Amino acid sequence: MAQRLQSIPKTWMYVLLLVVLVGPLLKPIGIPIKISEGTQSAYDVIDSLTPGSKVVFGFDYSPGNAAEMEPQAIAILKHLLTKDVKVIGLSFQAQGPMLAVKAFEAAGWTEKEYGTDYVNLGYRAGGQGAVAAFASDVPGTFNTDYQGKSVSSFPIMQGVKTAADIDMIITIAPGTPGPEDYVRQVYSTYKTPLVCGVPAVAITQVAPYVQAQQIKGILGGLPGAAEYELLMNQPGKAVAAMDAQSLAHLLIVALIILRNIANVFSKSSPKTQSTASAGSSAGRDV
Amino acid sequence: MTVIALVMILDFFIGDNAALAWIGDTAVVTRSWGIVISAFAMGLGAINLLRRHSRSVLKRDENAFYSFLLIASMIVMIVLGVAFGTESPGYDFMFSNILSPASSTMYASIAFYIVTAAYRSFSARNLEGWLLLITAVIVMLGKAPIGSVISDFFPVASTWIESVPNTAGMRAIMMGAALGVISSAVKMFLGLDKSYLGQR
Repeated sequence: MAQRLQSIPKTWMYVLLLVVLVGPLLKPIGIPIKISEGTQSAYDVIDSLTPGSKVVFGFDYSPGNAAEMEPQAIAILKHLLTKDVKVIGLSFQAQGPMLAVKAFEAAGWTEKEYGTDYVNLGYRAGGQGAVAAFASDVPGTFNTDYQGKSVSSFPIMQGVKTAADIDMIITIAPGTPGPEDYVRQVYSTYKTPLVCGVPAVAITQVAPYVQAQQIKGILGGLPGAAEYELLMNQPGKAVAAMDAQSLAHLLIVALIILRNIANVFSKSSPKTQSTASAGSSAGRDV
Repeated sequence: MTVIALVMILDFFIGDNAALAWIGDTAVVTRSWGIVISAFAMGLGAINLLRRHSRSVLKRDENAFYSFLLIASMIVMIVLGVAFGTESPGYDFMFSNILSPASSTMYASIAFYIVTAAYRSFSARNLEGWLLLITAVIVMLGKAPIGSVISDFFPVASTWIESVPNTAGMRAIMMGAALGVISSAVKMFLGLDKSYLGQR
């Protein structure tokens, strides 16, 4: 038995994962979701924006991680829509402008006036250098929108010269350029409040900046998006996916525990010692 | 190099000093040069990719079919984007129905590898192994809603791990890396290190 538990075939594990992922999506369980401190802070700081405030929204993710990042972007954009603020969308990721179009549409911004209430400035190459250039000269760095129209013709861009003229920056970014680059190039000089959305694996990397209050709020992965949807009283895609994520985590933990129990039993039984180690090495080839 | 470095460093410290505004203006121009160079680098990358995969197709090596697919996809996207714009139905169709789902699929398939990798790797054989195993279980359960259903301990402990030992470690790494970057930068600015120019 212990030997079998030490070398569960990978096909079984894949099938089990598929079941625990698809099952709750088809028939939700409704596991309660607790609001984390980072999400609550992000919500509070965005909620404190006054009507007419100008917010820069960085669509710094790509289609690959859109499944995790897009629900964050849509939830925050929906919140911004209720606050009657002006949103300047831009991206330091090549595919960001297309994702911005979709997110603006999904959050209902297309009913507002383009150029006056919101704008999509497109993409600029250069990573952290481009973030620095944007901070010191917004219209110089983004002189046209994603369709090539001059930004000087947009009322929303009037009075925006540097990052100091912006009331808040929100970036949804799984990598670089991301929150760290905005802290170094924007917050350190202009002190513009910064809120970010990152994948769950990147929370640890950004945590020092959050503790130092250089980042005012943080959404971590799909749970962050789900929590934000709940704070907005508008459960969406992320809340629906939370049951599946919970069960997937539980499956991984169960497999790890089973494997280690099997290890303990195989050690205590001299008979299975040699076969167990063989099984273990077979497991390594999975 | 040294002059540009000085301008960029001074720009951070001069603030709103009108007499030294020319330094800020020079820094702004320098940054915009950076953007132009980066855009050219992307174009160069695309040309290099075309050259590399064209060679593979012409030689008909084992990956020639995939190289052909890459070149064809690249040309179709460039033509659609440049000729009709990124909001054209054709470009939007390719982006929404091919690029996005394909990229998401690649990213999502990692979940399956994570399951088998976790099963194989988290095999505790010594004290360090047990510590890693226990930490992983606490964080995994603490970061999913199911953790607080099982016990309030998981989210509390997970947050503590994230904000105390993890942040301390991350700060140490960040400070160490920053000091390393500063020392390398100073060597480059003073002309002591010319490796970035291909010299030893």
